[in-house]
Amino acid sequence: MRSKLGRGGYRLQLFWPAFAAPATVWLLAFFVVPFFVIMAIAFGGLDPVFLTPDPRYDPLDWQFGSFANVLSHLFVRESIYQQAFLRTLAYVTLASIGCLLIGYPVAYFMARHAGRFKTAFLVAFIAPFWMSYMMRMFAWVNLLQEEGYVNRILVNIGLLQSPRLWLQGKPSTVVFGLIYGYVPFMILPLYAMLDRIDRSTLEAARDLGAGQIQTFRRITLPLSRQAIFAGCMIVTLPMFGDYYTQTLLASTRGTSMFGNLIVSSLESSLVNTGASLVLVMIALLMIPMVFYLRSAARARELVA
Amino acid sequence: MFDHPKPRRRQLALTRREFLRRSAMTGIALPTAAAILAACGSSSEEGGGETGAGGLKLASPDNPITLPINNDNPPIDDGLDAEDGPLRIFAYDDYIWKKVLNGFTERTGADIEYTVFDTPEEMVAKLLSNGPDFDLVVTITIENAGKLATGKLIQPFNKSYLPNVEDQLWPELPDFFDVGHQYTLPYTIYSTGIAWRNDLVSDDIAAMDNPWDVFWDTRFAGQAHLLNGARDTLSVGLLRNGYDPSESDPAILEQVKQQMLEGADSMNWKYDHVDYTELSTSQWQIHNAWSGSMGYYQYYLPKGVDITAISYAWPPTTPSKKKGLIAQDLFAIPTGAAHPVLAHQMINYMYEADVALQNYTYESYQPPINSFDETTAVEQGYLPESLAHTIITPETMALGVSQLELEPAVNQLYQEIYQEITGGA
Amino acid sequence: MSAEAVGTDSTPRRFLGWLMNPWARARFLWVIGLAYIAWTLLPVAIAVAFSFNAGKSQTAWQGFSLTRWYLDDVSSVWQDDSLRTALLQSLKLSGLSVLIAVPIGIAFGLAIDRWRGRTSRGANMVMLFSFITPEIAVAVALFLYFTQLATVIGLGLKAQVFGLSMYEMAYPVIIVQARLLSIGKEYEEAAMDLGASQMQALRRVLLPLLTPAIVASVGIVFATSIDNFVISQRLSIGASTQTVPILIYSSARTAPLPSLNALATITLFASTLMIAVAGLALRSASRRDRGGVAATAKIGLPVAGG
Repeated sequence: MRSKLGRGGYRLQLFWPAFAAPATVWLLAFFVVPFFVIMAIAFGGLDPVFLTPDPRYDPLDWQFGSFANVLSHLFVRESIYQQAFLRTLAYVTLASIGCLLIGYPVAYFMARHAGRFKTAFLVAFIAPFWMSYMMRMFAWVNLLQEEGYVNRILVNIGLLQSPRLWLQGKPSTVVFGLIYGYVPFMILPLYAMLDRIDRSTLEAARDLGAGQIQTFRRITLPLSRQAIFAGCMIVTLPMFGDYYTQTLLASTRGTSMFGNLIVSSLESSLVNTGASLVLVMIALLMIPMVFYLRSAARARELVA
Repeated sequence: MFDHPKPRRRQLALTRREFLRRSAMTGIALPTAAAILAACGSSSEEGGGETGAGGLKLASPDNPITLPINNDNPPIDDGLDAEDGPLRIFAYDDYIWKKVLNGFTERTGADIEYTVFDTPEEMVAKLLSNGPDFDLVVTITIENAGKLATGKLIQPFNKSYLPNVEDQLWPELPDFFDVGHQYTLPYTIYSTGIAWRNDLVSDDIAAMDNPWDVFWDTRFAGQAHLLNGARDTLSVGLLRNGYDPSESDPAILEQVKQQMLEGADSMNWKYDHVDYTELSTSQWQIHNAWSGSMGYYQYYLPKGVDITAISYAWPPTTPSKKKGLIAQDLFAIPTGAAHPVLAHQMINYMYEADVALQNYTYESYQPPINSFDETTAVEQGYLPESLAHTIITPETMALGVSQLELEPAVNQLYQEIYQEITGGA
Repeated sequence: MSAEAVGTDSTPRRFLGWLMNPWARARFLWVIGLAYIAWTLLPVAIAVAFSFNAGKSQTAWQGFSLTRWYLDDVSSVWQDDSLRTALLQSLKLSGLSVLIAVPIGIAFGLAIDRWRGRTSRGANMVMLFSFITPEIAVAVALFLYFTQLATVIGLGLKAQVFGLSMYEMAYPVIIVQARLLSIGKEYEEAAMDLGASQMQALRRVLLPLLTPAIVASVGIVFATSIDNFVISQRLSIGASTQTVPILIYSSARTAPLPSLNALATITLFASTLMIAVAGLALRSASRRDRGGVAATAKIGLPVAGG
């Protein structure tokens, strides 16, 4: 390797690449190649007897008929794939908005008003990150049972006439679950940004005669735009692939999401379809993903 | 800590796949499935036969099939010693009683590892990818038996290790899918019908003109469950309309699919066979269930509810005489299993009269053996009189239809319809 | 809200009045903040509480029993095989993931930061992609990989470890890169100017400075691995490779016994402990390195004047 006298002025050639090697091998072996296998299957054939996938590793061998079929089911024909796709878009949009509406005030509160209790709130806020998502949803499954606490409390205070079947395939329950599960991810970047806003900036605005609401609208909000965007990305990207929240809280045909179809394709003999659906999902999310990476890189460069 | 060694099964799969690819690349017209099987060394079967498109021979009561025994998938030799173990069983959850498994361990010294699958499709997929990881599969279904045997995923028995089977097995038991029980032996037989909580449901479903209609009755919306799995779920729609549960006409399937879609939407069906664990919270009132589950229920009912609160209707035995399913769950030994002798011993053990009865008292799925009959269950108090009809006799057996093996393309269609009905939930 | 409708002195009205006080902007936000914390933590607290339920119900409190579901009952965590196996499997999986992901992640993070060039940028991109790709896509890719191509490994614990450690790798990388940004290059350059080799500078200057990042990585990778669901479920092969989240998922809708709550509580406790240890270690480490003299002295070279 040529000697590199770059920005850092380091002279050793093989030193740093050697450090990067194990992780690179890992990424190649367990990330890049597996995705290649997905393509080999989605563009591959089918065993005639067992209907199992017959992967084709030579790109020249690839045939796109079944993939095109899946695409047409998704976007052209009226099919369960299309329904699940549109439904997922709807749920994710609603849940993301919900996360924002709840997350922003909470982040704002923690950043600006918690005062002495900030650390305590931070700890409490970080807690969901190391709690198992499953456990948090499991807790709600028990609470939302017909004889669970939610119904008992709501009936007691009179908001409900009789216990409601929250877990019987209600989209509202699913969206609620998604919001509950993902709102900490929304709060994170919002809090980080709001915490960083200099006190003096706000005081200056106040001195110049701006009221509380005006200060918020014309200083805080614009400054947090980047963070809102980041938060939305952090929330919507994984939510799109979420399938377990729906299975835990509703588990019906009318609420199934894109992820459910992927999983069910794998578990019946429709593996080709499952692989194709994964490719479509990645292709669709590629744009927001790249956008997010770019903006994160830009933000990092600003700091560096 | 890590997994078991992977023996020769891999090579078989590679050979078949390699053959396909090589033939495609050299421009040989892709042979029909029958020709592929011939190339893999299978011999031709007896009887003329029903062949699906593609040359695959499909078994049915009118067309019994003797599965071929191949040189590259022979039974094990006579007189081998039992391996050390562990015996790795692949089965439905809790499908053999722990005590019975422990009894086997006490007798042979071999531990037992029990791996669970949820649906027949999952079972087939796991066998295809990890067959040799298991020594004994406890629920091959009739419709998969032929495929798995011809695909060399299961190995033929060596009956010298199975003396109890000789004595005990019902002579009248249908074996059209594997004449002579070369690759499969029945573990249990059961019917598939309709179970309901008669304390919550006042209708007499058994007396209805078409008992299957109850799954579309919106009074039970959200409270009706179906069995999961493409074949079981679809058979409800097929049987409701009087069709065969192995119907292959796409037009009929489309019609049934539409009905089931309407049903799924208006009835909010759940798909599972863990019906008993929901009994304690009464999450269902009607369940498409297996007859064997009835006795099981007594362990799971909520306080104050008695086993007599459960009723079971099997349409062929009702006044309406609508069609109903009969099934056998079969033992099979995967090719390349590391402990085949132990597997044979386990099967032989399960056919012992005492063991089978002991297992029945917990599982309540009936073994098709001579030492067990309908009076045993009721007189010994394992089943209430009101559910005595869930025991199968050779006469009732003759009234039922089995789910038969489907042509691959039709099977694919069933899977797609199932996915559409359940929406992947 | 009119006085007639609500009543002049009723509780809702008084509460609203308290809230709408012009100085009460903060109060409104306080209510939101506290309500959020309650909403986010209370369900889990209740689930934990029910692991001490004397009876079998998940919805009706039947008295307090400390050990029924942890030790005594035939279905308790201690006595039920499937629960115990799941716990062990979770611990095994997260332990192994930490052992693999943290070292290679830290090394990678260092390398990418120090080694500029197109290759390193490319590698970094791939790593970032592995972080933001939806987990179900990664899980399906790994599943198909292990069942179609890498069948020598097949599904099971090995596959789970490989897949999960790859997925977790991004955490140490990101943490280390952030830490490197704040450390800067001065210490290393100073050490090398004073005659230390690359390796020495790394070992005796940089690595100690990175201790907080390493500790944080261990904590975070452990806590997220023990809760991982999608990848570990897809790569599991039956009861022996089930982890706690997988067990919760498959049992949650079937009226499970409180022993499941007990199991979840135990893993919650394990990850809380890890995070607490990591947090404390971080605190003390960052307090220590608030002096550049300490770093220089670590090189073992004489401080100026000696």
